[in-house]
Amino acid sequence: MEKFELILTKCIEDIKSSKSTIADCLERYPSLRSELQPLLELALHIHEPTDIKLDNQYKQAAKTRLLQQITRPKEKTSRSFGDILSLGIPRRFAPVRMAVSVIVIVIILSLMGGGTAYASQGSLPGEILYPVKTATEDTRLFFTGGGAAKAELNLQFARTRLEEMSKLASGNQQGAAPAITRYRKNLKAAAGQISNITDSIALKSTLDEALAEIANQLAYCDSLLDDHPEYAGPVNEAASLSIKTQLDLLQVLEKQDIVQAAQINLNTMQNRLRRAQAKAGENQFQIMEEALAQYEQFNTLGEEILQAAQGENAQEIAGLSEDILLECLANLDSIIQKAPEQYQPVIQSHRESALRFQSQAHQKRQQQGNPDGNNGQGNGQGNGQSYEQGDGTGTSYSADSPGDNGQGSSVEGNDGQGNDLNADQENGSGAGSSNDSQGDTGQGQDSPSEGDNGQENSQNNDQENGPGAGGSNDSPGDNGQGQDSPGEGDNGQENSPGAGSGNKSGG
Amino acid sequence: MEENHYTASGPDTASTALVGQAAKGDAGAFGRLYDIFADRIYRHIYYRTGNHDDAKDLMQEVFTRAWQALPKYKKTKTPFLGWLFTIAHNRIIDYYRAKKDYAYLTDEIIIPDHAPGPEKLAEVQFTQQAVRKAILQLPGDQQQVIILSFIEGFEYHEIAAALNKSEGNIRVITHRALKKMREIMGGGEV
Repeated sequence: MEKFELILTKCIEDIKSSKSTIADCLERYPSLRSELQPLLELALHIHEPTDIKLDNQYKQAAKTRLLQQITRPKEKTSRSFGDILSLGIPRRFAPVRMAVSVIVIVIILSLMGGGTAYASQGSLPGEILYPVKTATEDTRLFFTGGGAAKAELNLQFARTRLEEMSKLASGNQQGAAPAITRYRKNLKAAAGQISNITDSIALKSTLDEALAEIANQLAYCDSLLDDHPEYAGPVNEAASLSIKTQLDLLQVLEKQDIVQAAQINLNTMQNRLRRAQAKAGENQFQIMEEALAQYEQFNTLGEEILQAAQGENAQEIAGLSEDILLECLANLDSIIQKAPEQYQPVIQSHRESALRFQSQAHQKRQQQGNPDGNNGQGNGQGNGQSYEQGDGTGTSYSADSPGDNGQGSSVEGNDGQGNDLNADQENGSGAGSSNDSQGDTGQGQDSPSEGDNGQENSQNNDQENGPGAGGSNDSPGDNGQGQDSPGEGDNGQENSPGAGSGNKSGG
Repeated sequence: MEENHYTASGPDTASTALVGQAAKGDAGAFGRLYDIFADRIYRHIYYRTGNHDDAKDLMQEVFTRAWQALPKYKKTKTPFLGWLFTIAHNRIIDYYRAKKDYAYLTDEIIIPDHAPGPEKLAEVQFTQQAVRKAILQLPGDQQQVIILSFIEGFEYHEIAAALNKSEGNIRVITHRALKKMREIMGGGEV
């Protein structure tokens, strides 16, 4: 059974390309009509406002300005500019000189409306206007109130540092050192400011933005390194700093929303391994090795988060982790195939880390998935492990992993020996599929197959036909709980109301 | 004047050579890219800001940034237009951060449409404004996906490449965004 989002988006594509109408789609998926119809109708109302255009005359004039701007040669400025800003105060009085410079900049900015700041924005480390640029940043930080706003600004400046490094890449690579120093300073300040935010809503919001921004900065480093492999030293240093900040912030997020922290962390693990795999394919083994080392840091944090998680969170994180680690291990196996002998030991060590994490996740899921007295109601978390008790034999079965084709395994029984129900039906029935169109309504779970680390508890009128890993498909008409976990690297989370409660006849 | 419609892949194929030349510092080639993509970028920004002047300024910034970052652009990873949209997205976020003004949620944009009559035109305008307001209240990634998909006409795989996510993830986000929009719009019919 296809996932709902796949059905929805396919329908939208078909309707947009006039291959189908809404009615066709609803006819094709009658059981999904009530959910599908309003979304399709809404989707059709979203379209491009085609007639909004630039005035042609303005467009040409703006183009001319743009070309003038980008082709303008850099103006050479006198070396004494710093001295002018500091009103000639000798360098030995550095603090006073700095303070005076800042005041002068503020005055100039207030008089010139930001023109000077703008003029210095393109300067690079080693250039005469660069101190103006950094002093302007310090001034802005000084006058910005609130930890969140300061953190945002620091992250913005951190990105500027990477852009400076990028511009230096084609020429003065040695000049990157000051940019890295300030990059470290900006990131460290941002992390400190974020961790000091006391308002939980502001903290969460700032964390979300900061983590997204830092992920972008890491991607920026990747791109820079791809273009300039000879620039590996400075770029890897910057990447390390961004990863360190990311890890620090994830640990802060862990205290706010442990599941989201786990999701982001798992996503980043995947991201690093995909990069390593791609680089192995391009025979760029040093970059591959670096990406693997980065992966390891997130793997370690992932294990820590898993260990810290409790209750339903633990179950959910364990399930997510198992899903992602399956893909990670496939990535690592692919890397092993491609990498030369000399890299094999280190790759194997990363593989062992992944296996260890996977094993911990599996154990955690089993521990959390077998609560006493759960009369057949799946808990809607994790990988559909379900537990049923009622005839005194403690019979139950579970779906252990994404894509598990109905191979339920007995995990619980009064004597520790579970009996595998429906053994004759499980193979091929698709454990984890939740959207069968006919038959019993049982507890279904659609386990993701492609790096899914998101979670969506969907309103589930899904009908499950067959043994349905996740259990609880005892009798026709039962209403069960279903869980549809979104696929492919999804790191969002959504809960929809209305999962039917299990109504089971256990024995 | 060249104009691009709907998917990013068509124009990108045509502009690949220009992108390569521009990445090597050919400002003339970059000017041609500006000719090709300026309207799309402008429309995108205007849709999201509701202000012509700001949209013009931000568009210039997008192209200036694009010129600076062009040497790093990997055409194999993301369609060029998609890449421009990601720059635009970041600029718009910065714009709102700096502005801290959320009037854009209530500002109505002028959306010309070819409706058969005044009543129909008013109805279309009303619906489009409601849809736009709902889109602008979506969380960042959902907003970006909906705009790139429905407004800008990107394919899911192109959005995935532009946002560095998987195609399946983009489909999930689309689903969630539409559900969220329904909630925002009151769950009724549009």
